[in-house]
Amino acid sequence: MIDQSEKSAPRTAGQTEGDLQQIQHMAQRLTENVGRVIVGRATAVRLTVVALLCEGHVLLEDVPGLGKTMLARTVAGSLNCLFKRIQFTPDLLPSDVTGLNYFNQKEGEFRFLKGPIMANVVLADEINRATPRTQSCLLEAMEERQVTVEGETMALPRPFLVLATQNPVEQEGTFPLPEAQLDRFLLRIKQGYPTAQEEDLILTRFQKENPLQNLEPVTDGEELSRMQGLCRTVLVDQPVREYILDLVRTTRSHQAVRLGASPRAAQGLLRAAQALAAVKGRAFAVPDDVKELAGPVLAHRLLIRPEARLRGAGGEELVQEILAKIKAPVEEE
Amino acid sequence: MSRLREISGHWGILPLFFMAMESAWLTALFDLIARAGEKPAGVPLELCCLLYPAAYLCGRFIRPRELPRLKEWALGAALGLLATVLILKPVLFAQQSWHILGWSLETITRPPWTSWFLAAGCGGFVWLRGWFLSGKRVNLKGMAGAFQAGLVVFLVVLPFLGVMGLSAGRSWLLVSGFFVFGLSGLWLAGRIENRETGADRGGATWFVLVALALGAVLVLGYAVWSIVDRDLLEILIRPFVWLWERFVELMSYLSTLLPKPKPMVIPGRGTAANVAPQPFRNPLLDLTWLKNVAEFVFLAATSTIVGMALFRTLTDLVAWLRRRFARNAAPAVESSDYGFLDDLKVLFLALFSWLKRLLGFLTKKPKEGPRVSPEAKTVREIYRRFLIWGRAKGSPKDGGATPYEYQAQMSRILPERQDELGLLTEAYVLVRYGGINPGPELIRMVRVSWRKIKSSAPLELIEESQP
Repeated sequence: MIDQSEKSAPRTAGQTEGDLQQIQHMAQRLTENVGRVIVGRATAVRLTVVALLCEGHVLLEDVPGLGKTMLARTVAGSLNCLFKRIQFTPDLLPSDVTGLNYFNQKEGEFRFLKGPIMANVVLADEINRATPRTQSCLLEAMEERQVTVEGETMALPRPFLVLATQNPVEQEGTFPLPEAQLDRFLLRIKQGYPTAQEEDLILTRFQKENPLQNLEPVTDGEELSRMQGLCRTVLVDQPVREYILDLVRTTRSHQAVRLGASPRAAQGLLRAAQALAAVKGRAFAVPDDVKELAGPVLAHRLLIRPEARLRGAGGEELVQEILAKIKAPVEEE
Repeated sequence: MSRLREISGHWGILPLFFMAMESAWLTALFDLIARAGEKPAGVPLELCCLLYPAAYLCGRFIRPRELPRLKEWALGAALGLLATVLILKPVLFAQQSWHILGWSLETITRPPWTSWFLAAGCGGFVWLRGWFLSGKRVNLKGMAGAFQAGLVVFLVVLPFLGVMGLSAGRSWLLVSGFFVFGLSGLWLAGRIENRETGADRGGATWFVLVALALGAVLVLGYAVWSIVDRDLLEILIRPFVWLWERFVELMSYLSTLLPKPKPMVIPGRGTAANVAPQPFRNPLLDLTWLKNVAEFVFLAATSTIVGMALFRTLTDLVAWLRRRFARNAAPAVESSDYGFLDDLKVLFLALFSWLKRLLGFLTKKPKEGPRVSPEAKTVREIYRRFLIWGRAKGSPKDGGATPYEYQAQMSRILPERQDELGLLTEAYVLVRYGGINPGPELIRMVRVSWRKIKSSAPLELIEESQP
């Protein structure tokens, strides 16, 4: 077979085979650690690791009881970083998230009280239960990694990740996320129900104690930031880049789509493909990486026309349809 | 006999039927063009069809499907040369006879530029068509599409040719050639496809039956029309003329039922209307009306069948064009009985967008691609041949499939060549997406793997049945 050194030959400045091994090793440690709590869900865990490696925010969407919050908490617990949880409720205010200036009567001056957003990993649980006003306060934080309170802009600590959960079924007392906010999530992950064996293992594992309580972190923010930098050096050659652009641009002209994927989506897909290639031990991205990530990266960003939605066309189905239509960058016959 | 069966079961035989079928309608079309002007073009445009096989064979040489075939190129070049001589002779040496060896250049004629233009246009079109065909693999779908297109051309061209005095014998030849080669090709393509995919499509011959019925009506109608030398339009409007005559007769009869004015009595004379009585005509013995009714029924039925066939064919053609032009994936559109106008609208929009893209492509500056080393080119060329080979073996790569997906697909029909497929795919991925320059050892391994893959016999494909 082909020599492994040739397969992962250094391609870009500053990247060595050792770097790739470090990324792979870290991804493996994270996956194994999360696997101590979460049963199965290999794809969801891998996608979450990919999101961590490109500092992208994750939206975990599924029906209640499938372990969305548990996954987010486990991932956060595996990182030795500052972790904060915000339980989104209809009466939550923007200042409850970003922080506020209050008058300290003892000292006779205004002081800034930091909100829970000032953390490395923020779990926004049931994000669609907050009002649009409160949801909007995340826009600046998620995109620019900073918050502005009463005219003063403060940078957020790095790395900064938002892991949000939402339930797509229950509509009462919820406010759908606006497109601007959805676009800021790099990936939307759906887990689905576990298999019978997995469910049996969940019962066994959680029978006596919660394994989350004994979870130890396996990496820290500094190492994560370094790996994020290394992932960006993974080669995405011209054919793969053009494939990404084709894919994103086709979503804009699709007849069933009212609003296609944004340039931010293209950037996200490229970065995610880089991270996935690095996790797989490759120094370059291939179209398979793009195809694997296209659904989680693009599906939630598409605004589908009502008539198409009535026919049962969902974001995932449309992305799969586009993937089947677009020619992969392979030799012409 | 077994040799004949072997040849008829090979994909390579289909282009012959395809070319013969297309040559029939191309000849009719070129004949119409040659006769369309006030003066005949003077150029035997129909001979341009001889360039079809020449272009096909030369195209196969330039774009080798498996290995370059010098014999094919030589045959193609000879055919092309012969066709060129046959086309040019009546233009330049109209005064010379084939019986005289060595034509005198002094007698060379100077044909008008329109003749050159027409000859170049028709010849160029046929050449491009043959060239295009050489890069494609004719299958059942392609054959059926070309048959439909040819049918539409015939339906449009033949009436005009009849008006312009095309001989009955020649038109019989063209129509018969088209149907014989087209239907045989369709049947053969269906047979080969069924055998290769292992699927029994059951009703695969329905369109052949429809086409046969339509062809019979057309040929019969065209033969009658050619023999009696009537204008087709006159035949088509005869039912309406007949209806009008009956209407006038009915009105005349009704007017006789009205109370007649009493004849004026002039003293000393007889009645004013002293007209001799009409002889009595027994309607049971006079069968003219029966003849007229039969004629009306026959003409109305024939016109309806032809009209419906034309409409149906045009609808299919529009739907096909729409699919062809619709580059962007569209959701499944439910078919509607009245969706023809919608189809047309979408088609025009798609056509407009296609023209815009074409304009963009033509005005785009050529992009300098990344330099590819000869070693990388070798690997990519081997992989390209592998794709062509896979297609020839009945397992073509889907447009959206990646190299790894195609590897999995091929592994199902070549289970004993998993390692070779893996190596070939891995090497291609490294070269294409990793930008890695392969070493001599890797190239040697790729060559060996490709040889092993090429020499193996793939398993029969079994179509996955959906529950």
